[in-house]
Amino acid sequence: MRILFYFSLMLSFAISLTAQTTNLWTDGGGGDPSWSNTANWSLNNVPGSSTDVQIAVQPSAGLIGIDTGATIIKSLTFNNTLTGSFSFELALGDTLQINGAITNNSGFNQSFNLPVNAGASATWLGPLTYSNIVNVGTNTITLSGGSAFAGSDLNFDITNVSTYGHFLGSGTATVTGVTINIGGSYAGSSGDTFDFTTGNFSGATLGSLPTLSGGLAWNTSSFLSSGLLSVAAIPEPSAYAALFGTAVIGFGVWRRRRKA
Amino acid sequence: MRACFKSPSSSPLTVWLKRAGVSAVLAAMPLFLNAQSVTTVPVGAMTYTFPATTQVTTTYISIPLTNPAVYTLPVASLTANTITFSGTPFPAGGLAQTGSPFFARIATGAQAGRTILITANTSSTITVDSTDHSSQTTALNTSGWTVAAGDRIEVIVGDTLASIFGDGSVNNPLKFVGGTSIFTADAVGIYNKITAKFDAYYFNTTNNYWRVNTSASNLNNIVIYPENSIQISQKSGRSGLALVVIGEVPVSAPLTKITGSAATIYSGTRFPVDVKFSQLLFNNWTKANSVFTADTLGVYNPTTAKLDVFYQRLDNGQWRKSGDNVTDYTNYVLPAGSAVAIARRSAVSGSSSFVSAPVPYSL
Repeated sequence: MRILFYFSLMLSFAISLTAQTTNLWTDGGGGDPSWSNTANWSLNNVPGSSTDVQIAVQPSAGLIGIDTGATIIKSLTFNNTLTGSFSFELALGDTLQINGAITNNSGFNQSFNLPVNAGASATWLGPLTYSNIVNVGTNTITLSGGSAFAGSDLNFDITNVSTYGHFLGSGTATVTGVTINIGGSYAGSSGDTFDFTTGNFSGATLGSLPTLSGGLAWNTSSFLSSGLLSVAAIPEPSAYAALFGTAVIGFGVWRRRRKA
Repeated sequence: MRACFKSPSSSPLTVWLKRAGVSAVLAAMPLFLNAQSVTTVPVGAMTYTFPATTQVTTTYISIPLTNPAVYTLPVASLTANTITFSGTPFPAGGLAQTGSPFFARIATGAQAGRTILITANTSSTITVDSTDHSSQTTALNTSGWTVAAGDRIEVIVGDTLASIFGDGSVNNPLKFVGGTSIFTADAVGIYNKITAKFDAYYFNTTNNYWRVNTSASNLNNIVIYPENSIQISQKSGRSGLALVVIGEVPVSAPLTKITGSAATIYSGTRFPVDVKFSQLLFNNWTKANSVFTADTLGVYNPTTAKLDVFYQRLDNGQWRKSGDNVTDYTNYVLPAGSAVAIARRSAVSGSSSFVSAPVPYSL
């Protein structure tokens, strides 16, 4: 019976080891800040797409260098054990995709100096600075704790009127100097309205928009002030002609009455 | 990218020297000067402009200009990976020295446009890398698509990391900014068809040579293949710069090795002029009404830091972008020296394992 108990205990321990998906940055690489250096990680392996990453020890090089190409992780947490700010840098064209939350518990602003992709709808808790391209995709990102978008481009995608990327949240977010591009496979439907933020995009510039099917046009007048875009039908030439004809007839009637 | 070309009025050799920095080669092989063939194809310069950066910025380029031929010879005989010429035109071993790569460009015949690295040579025979630096081998004597006796072969000087991007010396200064780490230096990536990824190099200012992040070996002599796509990541705060490359204009359609089975190969348009999709009439190109069944062409989008993937529809011949069912990109312009990612759906062999598009200009 006792043997069975120990066996069960060992089995559950093995299972818990197998289920372990949290990998801590321990900065054990002897000053090498490379993401690919397994000595920097508590599990002695490089985090993958199912790994919750925690930055637990202050990077001694002042940065963490991502050198693993299109890098995907499950979530990213900056622990309260950090003693200052640092930045994520890239080696060559690398990107970082986070399929879950970004949580900064350090109290220090942390920066991403490489393209960041949102892999799923999640909360991004700052203070965080995104100093390069941010691809939101069709995800809903809830911002809180202070976010500064300071890179060249902030990109949202639209699939349809109910599936499109946007920001929620109540924290302070700045987008000064950023070009906001809207992409995706959306081809338009008259009357559709999209709300990309609960705040505004003051200080940003609206860049590219999806090409709409014939007869449709974007209304962008409220985009920067309140994050709203809508699609409207462009009146057909015949509609303009009818309008003009009505005006001419009306003018004629008005003149005749005036003469009379 | 800006390009200007002219016919060589005086000395194409001068241009060649400027491009390749080949004083070491000349010292090693003085006989080459006597064997110099005077070329009549246009030579010129391409200027790649890199604006000042305010964030980490990635750019993809390709280098369609090549160095002029130093030998032009007819094939006497061949095997799967060797070509033998009449007489003894070469200094033995002189075409395969570390740091001084040479390529054999097949100028006529079935495999015209293929440019292959010379890996060894005797005085009359060259051995070439018939894998085209990929995971597949395409024999020179492939049945139905063979190089033949009498086909003309041009031997051209190749480039290396240091010859294109500098070695930090007075005569060959660095074009981009070095550093003590790849995370602070500008990085240059050379596409590797075997590993299907870009190998990342940076100029280490402590070592004073090019190296990778994970090893301190001197990699100044890494070969840059004419069909290579080159990825450059500049860090934030760099000043604007112009990278000038001098060389010959392709006079016939260059062949680009692909591996098929939907594997993506990064290369270039191979031409020193702007090219529209409508001009990219690739051989054996599979059109389809879905991006998932068509052959595809990827173009880096610096706005999203991702590839835009284009394909040609079967029903109307229009070029479309994946995810955009509305816009016709047939007249989309790829600037001179652009890099592209090419994927052929089907398995390939022989001639189908290369793509080429007609030369979009007349000389």
